[in-house]
Amino acid sequence: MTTQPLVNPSASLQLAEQTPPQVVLDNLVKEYGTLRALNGVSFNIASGEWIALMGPSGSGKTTLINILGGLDTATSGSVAVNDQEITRLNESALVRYRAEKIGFVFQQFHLVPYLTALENVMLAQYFHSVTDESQAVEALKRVGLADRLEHLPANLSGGEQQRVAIARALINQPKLILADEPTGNLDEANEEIVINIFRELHKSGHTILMVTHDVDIARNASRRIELTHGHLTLDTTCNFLEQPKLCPHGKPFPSSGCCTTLDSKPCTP
Amino acid sequence: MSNRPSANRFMFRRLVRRLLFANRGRLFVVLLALSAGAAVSAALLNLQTDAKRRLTTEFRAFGPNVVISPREPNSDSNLLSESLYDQIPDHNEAGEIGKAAFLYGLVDIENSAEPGKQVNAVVVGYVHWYIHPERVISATLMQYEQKSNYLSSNMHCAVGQRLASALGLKDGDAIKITGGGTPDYDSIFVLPVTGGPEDNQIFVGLDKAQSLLARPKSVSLIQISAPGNPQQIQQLMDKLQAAFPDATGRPLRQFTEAQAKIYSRISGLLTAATAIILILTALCVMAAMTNIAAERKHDVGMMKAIGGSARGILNLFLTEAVLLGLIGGLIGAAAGIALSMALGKAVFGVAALPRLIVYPISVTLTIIVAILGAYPLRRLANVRPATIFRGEV
Repeated sequence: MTTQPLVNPSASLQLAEQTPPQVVLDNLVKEYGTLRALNGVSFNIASGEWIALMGPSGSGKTTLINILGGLDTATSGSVAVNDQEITRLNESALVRYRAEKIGFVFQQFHLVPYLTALENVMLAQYFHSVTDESQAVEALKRVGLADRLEHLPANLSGGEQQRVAIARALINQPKLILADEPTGNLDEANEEIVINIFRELHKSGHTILMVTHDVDIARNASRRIELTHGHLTLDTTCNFLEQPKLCPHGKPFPSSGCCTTLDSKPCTP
Repeated sequence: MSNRPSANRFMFRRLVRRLLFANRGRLFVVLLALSAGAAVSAALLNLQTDAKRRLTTEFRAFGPNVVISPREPNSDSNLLSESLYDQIPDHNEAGEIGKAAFLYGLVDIENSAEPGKQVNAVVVGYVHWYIHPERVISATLMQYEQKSNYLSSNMHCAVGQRLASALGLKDGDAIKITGGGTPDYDSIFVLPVTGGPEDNQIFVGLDKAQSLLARPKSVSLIQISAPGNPQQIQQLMDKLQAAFPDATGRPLRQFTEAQAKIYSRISGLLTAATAIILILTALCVMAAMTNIAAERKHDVGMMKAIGGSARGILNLFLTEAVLLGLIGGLIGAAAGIALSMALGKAVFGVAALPRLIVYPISVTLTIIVAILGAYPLRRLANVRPATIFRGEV
C-alpha cells in the first residue's frame, strides 16, 4: 500500500546540531504519591529531530510524553517548547498549546467510536479553530484513506485507524508530534505503512518524539533516548546496529565517534 | 472568515447528533426517566393548578358563602327590597356569581279535596339566577326543579313531605294557600324527605309568595355563592355593603377559610411530591449518565488531548442533555397533563382542566433536571486527560 507524502517532501531536514532546541527539558520530576516516575530528566530536542524514546515498562516514557504534551503536570522542573514554558501555563493556555503545538498519536488510536474517519479528523479542526471538510478529506487521502472517509472506526482495520489518528494529529500542522507506541497494536504490514508515514513527516521537517519498544522502529529515528526507573540512561545518535560499549560515565553507548554522553559531549571509549 | 462560525455550528450540530445516537440504549433509559418524571410532575402541577378552581367549585357546591339580610331583622320592616337582588353583579374577578332571593311567611294550607282541613305552614317564595342555582338553593329543590320545570309554571308548588302527609296530599293534588294577601290555588309536587325544615315548608315562586303574603317587591334574604379566595369574597362583600347600606352582608367564613387552608395543604403536598419526583428523576438520569460517562471517558481524554477545552466539551454534553430534557419534557408533560385529567376525574369526579402554563413549566423543569443529571459528564469534562488515560477515572 502506497501513501502520498504528508507534506512537501522537499522541505529541508534540520539537523539537531544545526538548529536551536525546540524543546528543553530541565531537571523534570514527576511523582505519583511516593512513586517517582521521572527523576530529574533533562535533555533538549532540536527542531526536525526524530527521537525514539525507549526503556522498559514503568520507566516513565509515557509520563514524559504526557507532560511534554500538556496532558499532565510536572512535580518540579521545567519544560520549554518553542521558548514557551509549559509547566507554568494555566488550563486555558494548555488547551491552546495542545490544539496548536502538539499532535498526539496513541497506541490505542483513541478515535471517537461514533464519529466517522472524516469527522474524527474534523474534530481536531473544530477544537483548534474552524472545520474545513475539504482539508480533512485531503489529510485522509494523504494517508491512503480516500475510500474510508465515512467509515466508523469499528469498520476500519487497526492500521487504518492509526492512519486516521495520524491524519487527525497532523491536520492542525503541529510543531511537535508525540507518538506513544504508534505501532504497538499493528501487524507488520500496517506497521510498515505507519512508519513510512512517519518517515515522510520526518523528511518534511516535523519533530517527532516516539515511544517504542521495538528496536527496528527506533532505528528510523535520528536519536535514541532511554529511560530507566525515571532516569535518563542513554542519549545517543548512534547507529543501532553497532554494539554498545561502556563510556567513562559507566553508561552503555554504541561506538566511538557517533555518540554523545548524557552531558551531550562527545564520548570517547 | 465569514464561514467560520457557520462551519463550526454545523460541526457542533453534527457532533451533538452523533452523541445522541452514540449510547442509544443508555440514552433511551435517560429519555424514559425524563419522560416519566415530566409526566408525573406535569400531572401533579396540573392538579395543583386545577385544585384551586376545583376546590372553589366543590366548596361552592356546599351552598352559598355570603348571606345578605336586613340590617335590623327584628324591626317591623325586616325585609329587603327585591331590587337589591337585581343589583348584585353576575360575576366578580374570580368568575360567575350564583344568587337566590327568598321570602318567608306563614300561610294556611287547605286540601281542596277535603275543604275545612287546614294547617299552618311556612311558605318560602324564591327566585334564583340561572347561573349555578345548585349553589344557592337546596339539593332537594334543585332535584324538584329539574324534574318538574317548576319555575316555568305558575300553577305549581312544592310541598314538604311531612306537610303533605298531614294533609293527605300526593303529587298532582290541588291545595288552597291563604296568607295576608291574595289566596292561591295550586297543584302540588311532594318533595322527598330531607329530615330538615323543608319537610314542613311549601315552596312557591317569589312573585306568588309576595302576592300571598302581601309583600310586593320584598325579600327576606339573599344568598350568594361567589367564587374566589377569601380576599376576593371580602372585596365583593365590601362592594355590596357600600351599595346597600340598609342591608348587612355576612360571609360564611368557615367555608372560605377552610377552603384556603385545604388548598394550601393540598398545594404544599403536591409541590413536595413534584419536587421529590424531580429529584428522583435527576438521580435516575445521573445513574445512567454515570455509565455513559464511563463509556465516554476515553473520548473525553482524547478530545482534551487534541485541544478540546473543558467548556467546549461541556457544551456538547449539555446540549445533548438539554435536547434529551426537551424531548423527554415535551412527551412526558403532554402525557402528564392527560394523566392529570384522568386523575382529576378519579379524585373529584370531574376531569381536571389542562392548564397551558403547566406545559412550559414542566418542560423547563425537565430540562433543568436533565442538566443536573448530566453532572457525571460535567465532572468528566474537567478531568486531566492523563488521569483518564492512566485509568484513574
